[in-house]
This record gives sequence, structure tokens and C-alpha cells, in this order.
Amino acid sequence: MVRIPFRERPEWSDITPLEQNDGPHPLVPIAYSPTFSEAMGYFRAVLALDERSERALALTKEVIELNAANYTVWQFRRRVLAALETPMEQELEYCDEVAEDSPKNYQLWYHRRWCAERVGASGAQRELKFTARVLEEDAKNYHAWAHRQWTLRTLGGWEGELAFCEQLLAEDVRNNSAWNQRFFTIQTCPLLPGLEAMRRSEAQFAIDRIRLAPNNESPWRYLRGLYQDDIRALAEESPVVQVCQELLRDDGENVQALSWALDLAAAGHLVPEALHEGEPSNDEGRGSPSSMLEQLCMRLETADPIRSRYWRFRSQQLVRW
Amino acid sequence: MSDSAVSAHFLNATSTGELFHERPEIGLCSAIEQRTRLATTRTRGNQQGLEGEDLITAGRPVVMARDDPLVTATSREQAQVAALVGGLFQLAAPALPQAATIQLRRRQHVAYLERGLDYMGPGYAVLDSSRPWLCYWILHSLALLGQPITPDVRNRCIDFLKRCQDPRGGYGGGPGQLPHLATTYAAVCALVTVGGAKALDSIDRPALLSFLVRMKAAGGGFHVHADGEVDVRGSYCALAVAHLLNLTSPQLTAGVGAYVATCQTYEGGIGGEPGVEAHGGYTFCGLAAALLAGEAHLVALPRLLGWLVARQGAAEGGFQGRTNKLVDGCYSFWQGGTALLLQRVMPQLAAQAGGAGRGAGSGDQQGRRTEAEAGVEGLRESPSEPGARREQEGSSERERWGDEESTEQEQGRGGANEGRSDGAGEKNEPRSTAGASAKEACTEEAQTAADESAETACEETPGGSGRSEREWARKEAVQADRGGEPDSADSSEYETDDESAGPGRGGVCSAAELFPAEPLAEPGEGGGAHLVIEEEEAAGRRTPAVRREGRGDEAGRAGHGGTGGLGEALLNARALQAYILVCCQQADGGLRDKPGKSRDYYHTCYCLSGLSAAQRCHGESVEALPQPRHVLGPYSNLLEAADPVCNVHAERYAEAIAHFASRPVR
Repeated sequence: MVRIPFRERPEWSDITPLEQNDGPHPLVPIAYSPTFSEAMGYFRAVLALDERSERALALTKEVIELNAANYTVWQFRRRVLAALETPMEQELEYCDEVAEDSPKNYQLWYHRRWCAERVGASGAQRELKFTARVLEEDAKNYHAWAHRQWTLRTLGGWEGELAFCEQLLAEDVRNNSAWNQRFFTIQTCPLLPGLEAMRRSEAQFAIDRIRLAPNNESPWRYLRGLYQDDIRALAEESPVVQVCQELLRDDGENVQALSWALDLAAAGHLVPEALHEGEPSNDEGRGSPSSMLEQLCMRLETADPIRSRYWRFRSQQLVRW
Repeated sequence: MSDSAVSAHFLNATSTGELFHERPEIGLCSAIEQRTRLATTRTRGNQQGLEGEDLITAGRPVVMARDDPLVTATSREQAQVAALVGGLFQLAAPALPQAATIQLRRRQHVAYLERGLDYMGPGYAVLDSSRPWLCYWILHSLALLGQPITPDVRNRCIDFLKRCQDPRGGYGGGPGQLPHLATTYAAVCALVTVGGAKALDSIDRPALLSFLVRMKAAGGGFHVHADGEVDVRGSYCALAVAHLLNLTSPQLTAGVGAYVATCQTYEGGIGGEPGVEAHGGYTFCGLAAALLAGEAHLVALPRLLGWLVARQGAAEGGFQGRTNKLVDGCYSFWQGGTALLLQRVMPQLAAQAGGAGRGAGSGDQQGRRTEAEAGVEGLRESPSEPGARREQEGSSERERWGDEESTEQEQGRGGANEGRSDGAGEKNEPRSTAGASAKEACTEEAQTAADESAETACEETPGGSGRSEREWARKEAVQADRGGEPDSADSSEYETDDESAGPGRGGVCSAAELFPAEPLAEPGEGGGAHLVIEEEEAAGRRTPAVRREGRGDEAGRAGHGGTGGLGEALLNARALQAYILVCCQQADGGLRDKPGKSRDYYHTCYCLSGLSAAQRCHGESVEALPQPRHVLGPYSNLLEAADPVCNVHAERYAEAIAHFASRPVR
């Protein structure tokens, strides 16, 4: 479709565009296209008049097409929408369109929140479906996850959320965003009994997935989060010690398992495999607890050389006490 | 979608990417994830040899040594990037350990940056609401490079930003746009960077203060603009600006630390809002905001540290923004800068770790305060005692390294690339950058060989167990080693001892192997991890200060928002420098996310900021002249120092602090 310049549109004949006041020698001057300059000129004029009309709404759409990151335009659009009492469902359809081109635009997602909030609880499913669709394209889209959390918190729709996380983890067990969402759900969902009540079963959930890919950091972190760093309780309630043993028997350099062995040891739970690669041993000859911790740190320094300074630091910290 | 769109659509700073770009088009680090852009953006006519794309054009998955057999989207993309980066390191490897040919391409970067000051192509219209950001990214990059700001640029900067200033306070993304906290931060930092009374006094501070107060949200966060979203960026931008301009007040800082703490996730990092995934950009903003509010103790610091160090890629040396995402040069600053901030709160960190039952992964979630914490908190201006620390700042000695710059050696091998820069007549269009080479630090001769070796490294994908994969990888590394040996005349100069320094000892040509971290100092060796808190009388009030044990000198004293009192660096700063210098530089200037991506001003700024931090994190302060071994490559690679919290040139920072110390706004 051929685009007609504003100056040739009869409905805009009463408006004189406002030039941008850039000064004589601006820094970082942008060589705007004529289309861009003209549309912005009309926008500035309409903004100055604070004209909340249908044509102003249409204008904001055109300007957003040229630069979806212009937060001033979005904010003005909301003022116009409020004045015109435009149905929010209609505006959400517009948001769907923009998202096609700019799925990672802050303004768009904030605008969407604003609309969805006005629709209320009846709009929850729509928002969940929309984010699910965006996440199909990019399973780690930060804005989409944030919007999903906002939707659940504000509008509800929690029923399918655990299953949704599980499905995404089935597709990619390394999707840390999905792990984060699962944690959020366990912690926040009013339909679930809460973190403490669920931590045993969730620990099992994480451990099952650790076995699929033992070097995958995400479930290890999830596990730690479930117990809020209460390593002692974790060791008592879950088979984590056994898992570490098994994994280290299979691969003495599994950094995740080794780092857990260190935390477990510091909390009084020894994982012998962590000290002698691949073979179980008794406690003899291992020296004091502090030298044991030191040994573990040394193994980590070797197995995880990029973080050698950190493991050395841990060693210094642990040995001091 | 064309490459121009990629570059252009990036980061509408006040909007999309802001501080740490979620780009609409290429997404944080996720471009490759979605469309394997690397394999498709290969530019025909790119005669410059090895480009990232070449290595994976065939699309063969590569399994890294530490990967599990199970292949998912995440591991596939990670393996591709690791292979890409490994191929480039392969080229650099023969020059190790001296790494003399790993050079910062100053001249080209300066040229690229200066062009941007004068001209942005039509593609940059998508950054039309981020123009103060463009000013800041470019000016800060130039400042880090030690490039003087000319009077003309200073005046144009002042004049232009005045036009972005709102009569009711704060700066918008361009003239006539709504004031926004992110562009306000960028504008103020740009003005501080150009420096001088005229620039500093062009800021309407009473109005700015009222803007900041208006943006303050219930619950400790800030709206980024009127009726705009609330997130951790807002808190950082507001408090950083307040700090620079001596506007900090209890009204502004109230609840900020607690808000940041609610954004810290179970992983240890900080997300943009409560509940949302831990993310490098928000983590920097969150910790820096908590520091500026004097409430770093409310963040679980040991857990933050544990998460942070895990974000450095063993293969890449650079940082990822989130767990199981791809490396991106910009996180060299967001994560590397967070590491630097943590070095300044070591006593608090140690106190939390000690108080929480020994788990290092553990942290004091209750935010219990200890004496040490209270002491360090005092490093930040007590809201009720503005200016308490200012006396210190003016007197602090600043060492210059500028003389070193003139010694810049043009090593023969590095020089081989010189003639190739085709940037001279280049219009500053985003699209113009697509084909730039990834090989800057490396010799031309090595290209072909490395191409081949990288090709080899991509070849087989064993489907076996983790163990057999490692064996495979070792075998491959030996082949790669042979293939990667340059046959240039001076190669003998760089020959490495296979036993000790051979690349890929662990199986692949990884940053961890090629650029080992220096051993951590043991307690008593003068390491900074053990600091003592002292209190001293200053200006008639008790001003706590941190000194290193056994060093009672002024240099060890922690400045307020500025320099000094660094604990031990806990990241591998060498490997980080290697990633930036080897993988992020474009031959014709500018830096980028990763090989195969195009340069842009955002990445140039944050790659250089990260480089400066990595070079300077081992000293007593970022301003102290680092030892040569801490600067990867020739010493002429050393960048200027920046204030770790506000990320503006350290001297300009001090100037601003001193300037406003005697000009309170109340």
C-alpha cells in the first residue's frame, strides 16, 4: 500500500507539524527519513495540543510503527485510549500485532499490562495464551516471562502453570527461565501448599532432571533454592548425597556435584567420592575437617579452572572457621 | 531481516534494551537461539578470512567436553558458540603466554566512535528515544580510551542535552520527549564525562530532584517515567544520578535496599522485578542501587557471588547474562562490574557467609547486620550527613598511565591487519558493519590454518557418554593444535610448551585453559579479602573507612562512591579480557556481542567498560596503575579507570563530586 504523506491527507490539513528542536550542531544527529521526520512533526503538534481523538490514536500507531521504543508516544496513546474509552480487548489485539515485530520491546509489554489490568480477571487466559505463544518462538523471552508472572499474580489463572513449566522443561531441561517460573509458581501460587510443604517432592523433581543431564546447572540451583540454603535439611530430606556420590563415581570432575559435596561437607555431610575420585573410601587419612574442605576446594580448582580464584576464596573462608 | 535491522533495532535504550538490551530483533543473547543467525548472516565479499559464521556454517553440532550427552536447544546453541569462540582462541593461542599480539584496536575504535558523534544513519531512528544514551555510550567509550574531549564536542553535548532536559526536571530520549530515568542517567553521565563547570551547571538540579522524587514508587522502587514501569533499573538510575549530583536524601533511598532484596532470586542473582529470573543487567543495577542506598547488607551477598562467578563461561571467558544463556560481550561489564562492586563489600560478604552456617552458597537472608556491615555501609554517604566523605575525594591521588599510551607497539603480526580497515569512507550506518572480521588479534597466515582446525573441531559429534566425549575432545584438541600452528616466520617466537600451555589441555581450546587465572593471594600475603574497619575523625564527624590490613596509607582508603578498598577479584579477569579482545573487537573498530554479530555503540561501551574493570580489579583501587601481568596483551591495552558504581571516568567522577559537594540542593 502506498503511504500518503500527512501533508496530503485532508484530515490533517488543520495541523502544522512541529519541527524537532535539535539545535544547530547536535551531537549524535540522526539522518531521519522524510517519512519519520514528517510523522514525528505531526505527533509533536498533536501532543502539544493534547488532542485526544481518533485521528490522534491512529497517528500514534503510525509513529509506533516507525519507532516502537518511543515511550512518549505510548504514554500519550494511553491518555487517548482512556479519553475515548476504547475497548481494551481491541487494544490488546493491536498489542498482538506489534509483538510480532518487537517481542522484546519494554514499552509494548508495559502497555499490554496496562490494558490487561483494565480488562481484569476475565482476561487472564488471553494473556497466558499470548505469552505461551511468544515463548514458543523464544522460550527465554524475559519480558514474556515477566508478563506471565504479572498476569498470574494480578489476574490469576494458576491452574495449569506447573504443567506449563513441566512441558517447557520436557522440551529443554536447560531452560532456566522455565525453572525460575516453576520456583515462582511453587512459592506464590495460592492453590499450592507452598515452598516448605512441597520441597521434598520438588527436590525429587529436580533430581530426576539432574540425572538426565548432570552438568545442567539449572536444577542444581533450583534444588538449593528449595531449601533456601539449608543444606542440612536438604541432605536429610532428599537423596542429594546419594546422587552426588553416584555422579562423582561416574565422573569425578562433575563440577556441580563437587560444589555440592563442598557445601554438604561444610554442613557435616561427607560425600567420600568427592575426595577420592571414583572410589569409595573410609574416613582414615583424610585429616581434619578443614583439610578435607580444603581438598575439596582444590579438586574444584582443578575441575573448574575458570573459577579457581573463587574456589580458593571459598577454601580460605571455610578454613578460617 | 537484514543486518541493518539487527544493528538498528537494538536497544532503544530508554525502552527496549536500556541498560542491558533486550533487543527487539536480536534479543539479549538469543539471536542464535532462534534463527541460527550466525549461520545465515555470512556476508559475501567478506574477504577478511575467518568470520565466526564460517566455523558453523555447516551447522554441525559440537559437543563440549563438559556437556552431557542429552542435546537440547540450549546445549546446541552453546556448543556452536563455544566452537566459534574456541576457533578464535585457537588463533590467539600461539601468541601465548605473552599475548603480545592481542591488541586493543584503539585507533579503529576511536574512529568508529567519533563518526557516531557526527552522524547516525536513518537506521538509528529506532534509537530516537535513546539519544542521551548514544551520547553516553560514545563519550564514555572515548573517555575510557583516553581520548580527549574537544571543546566543540563538549559544547555540542551541553547544548544538545539542554534541549532534552524537561522544564520540570530530568532528561528525555530526545528534545521534547518525556523525561525518563534511564535517559536522565545517560545524560548526566555524559555531562559528567565531558566535564567542566559549564557542563555540570547545565543540569537543573532542583528540578531534577523533584523529578526523582516524583518517580519514587511505593515499596522502594522507581517508575522509569511518569506512569511508567517500576523495576530495578529505575532505582539504580535514580540513585546514581542523585549520588553524582549530591541530591541523595533519605526520601530517595528509603526502602531501596529492601526492594532490591525482594528482586534477588533463589539463584542468587537479581531480576528486574520480584520473582523474575536473575539477570546480569538487573544484578548490577540492584547491587549498585543497594550500595548507593547504604543497604548492601540487605542483599544476600555470598549467594550473589556464587551465582555471579558461575556466569563466566569456561570456554568463552566472557559472561552470560543468565544461567544457561549464551555469552555476550556487554555482560563483561554488567557481570564483571558486579564482581568489582562485590570486591568493595567483602567484609559484609564475609560476615554474612560466616554468620550463615558456612555454606558459601549460603547467605544471610535476613539481612542481619554485623559490625563490619555497619562499618562499610558508612562508606556510602549517610543520608543524614551529606558531604561527609567529600573531603577525601579531592585529595585522592590519581596516577596517570597516559605516558604508556605512546609506547603502543605495532607488533608485526597485529600490523598485518592495518591496511584492511575499510572504515575510512564508511557512512555510519548500522548496516555497514555486517561483514567485519573477527580475526583482528590474529595473523592472516593463521587464518586458513585455524579455519581448518576449527572445521575439524566441528566435525565429529560422539554420541557416547560424557567420558568418551572428553576423550574425543582431547583427541580433537591435538589435531586442532597441529592445524592451528601458524607457519608464519615468527611463529617460533610464540611457540608454546605442549606440556604446560598447550591449548585445549582439558579437551577444547577454552578460555579457562588458555588464560588461567592468577592464583588467589593467601591471607597475609596482602590479599584484599581481609579488610579491617577503622573509624576516624573527619570533618568533625566519625567517618568509617576501610583500610587494608598492614597498609595504613591513603591509597587504601575507600572513597565514597569512587575508588579504593578493593578486596580480591574472584573472577578470571584474564579470560574476560581475552574474550573481549579476541572475540568482540571488529577489525574496523567497534565492539560487539559475540563473533558473527555486528558492532554497535552499546556493546562498544560495555565491552570497553568491562575491559577496564577486568584490567584494574587486582589493584588497591581501580585507579591504581595495574601490574603488567594483569593487563592482557601489551600494556598499551590499558584503559582509563571508571568509577565502579556510576561507570563514568574516574577523574571526571571526582570532579563532579567535588563540584557539587559545596552546592547542596535543599
